[in-house]
Amino acid sequence: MVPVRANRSGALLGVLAAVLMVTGCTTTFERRLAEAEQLRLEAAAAGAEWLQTESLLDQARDEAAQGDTDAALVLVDKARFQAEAALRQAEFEATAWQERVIK
Amino acid sequence: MASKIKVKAKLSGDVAEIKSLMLHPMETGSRKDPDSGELVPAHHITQLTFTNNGKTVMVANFSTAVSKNPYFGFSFSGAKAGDTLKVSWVDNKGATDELETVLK
Amino acid sequence: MKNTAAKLLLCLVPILWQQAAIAGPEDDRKAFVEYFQSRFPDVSFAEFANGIYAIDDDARRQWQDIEEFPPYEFAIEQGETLWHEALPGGAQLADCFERPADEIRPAYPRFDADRGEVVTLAVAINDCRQTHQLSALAYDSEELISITAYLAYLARGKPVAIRVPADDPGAIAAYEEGKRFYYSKRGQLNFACSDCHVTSVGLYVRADRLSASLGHTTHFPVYRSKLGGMISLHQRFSGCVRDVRAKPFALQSKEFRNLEYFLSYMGNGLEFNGPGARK
Repeated sequence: MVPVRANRSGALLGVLAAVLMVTGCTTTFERRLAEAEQLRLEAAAAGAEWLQTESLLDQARDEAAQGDTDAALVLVDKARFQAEAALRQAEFEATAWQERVIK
Repeated sequence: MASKIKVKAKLSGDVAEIKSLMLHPMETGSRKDPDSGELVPAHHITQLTFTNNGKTVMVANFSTAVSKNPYFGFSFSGAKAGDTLKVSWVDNKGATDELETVLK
Repeated sequence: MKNTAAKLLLCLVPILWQQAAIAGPEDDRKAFVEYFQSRFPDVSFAEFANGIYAIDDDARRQWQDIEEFPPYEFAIEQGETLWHEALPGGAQLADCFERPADEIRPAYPRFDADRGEVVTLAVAINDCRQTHQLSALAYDSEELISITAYLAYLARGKPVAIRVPADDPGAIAAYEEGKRFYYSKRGQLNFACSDCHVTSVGLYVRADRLSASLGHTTHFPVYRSKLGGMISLHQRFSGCVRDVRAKPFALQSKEFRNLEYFLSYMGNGLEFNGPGARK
């Protein structure tokens, strides 16, 4: 029980705790997983998704479910790298392909 | 049900060159079904026999090393046009198949 | 004199402009053929329909041995049976196609202006089934591949003559999409189709020698010794996309149908020689 003092940071912490309890606690893993998945979908929409990205995210979910968040984060980061690289690849290829056409 | 064996024969003098192709899954028994993860049971030809006018000219003992839809070719002498060549196989489940053809 | 010459030159401008606009795919094709013929001057144009066997003597000898007793004969027979099988109501698959059976394979792929997309033979067969209240066959199913094997066999010797009508912007767009796909790098290994099948033809990737894209589509479906069974062209596309570690597109997806359209057009003038036999 926090000592009752009209302390601003205490009040802020109280508000934050209340907000988190209401909205559901989003962990670092869940946030990064969602971001990586979003990037994967963008790569897919660009027709550029790499082979492993989806299975890396599935493996990450498995690891997190078994409690190994560190291993899960490593996999999420790998997947994110693939998705971002795929997007850069698609962006570059949008014009680069023309150089290869036999003329 | 049509035979699942095909045979081609080429006569040069009294030597017959035989080529055969047969439909058979030839499962080794070591492969896992990709969906269920279960081992696919062994199902393969165990013996392949060729007779010419009733006389055995070739017996081949197949095992797990022969892959799906086996192709088998060999030659034998003492053949002439009009001979009846019969090819038959039996597999590890006891199923059989056979085909007869006339040499020309 | 100068006036007349100037007028004549001005008259040529619209003609030349139209030529440039119309000749797109044909210009591409001629350059494509010229590239491969200059790379392999000892290979006749028609031979390119045989893929790697046109440029690799050892592989060709092995293939000729296999062709003495072709492993795809079972598929042709099964296909013939399925082609003549009665559909509900007594109709037959042939009824959907309005042309002799040996002219069906050569009619595809084609751009369907009403649907606004490329229609391949496999899609047309499934359309026919669905018109007769039957479910579509999976594009990697033995039954569908067998039917295409039978139709391919009937069409042997017929010329490849894919059309990209100059007055159909939809067709031209589909062709250009296929061309873009072909030349675009993809996957973790960052390869375009052209990196292997144009730039590196004749070189080895692992234990396989790379074939030229000229003639790639003439001989499908193909019996693969590795699988002990037949595969369709789109399964080969899918495998290649997977091999460069990109996520494969679905069989008969828009991407693959456009790619088939482009590649088939590149093979115009060759003869259909399916089904084929490969490693």
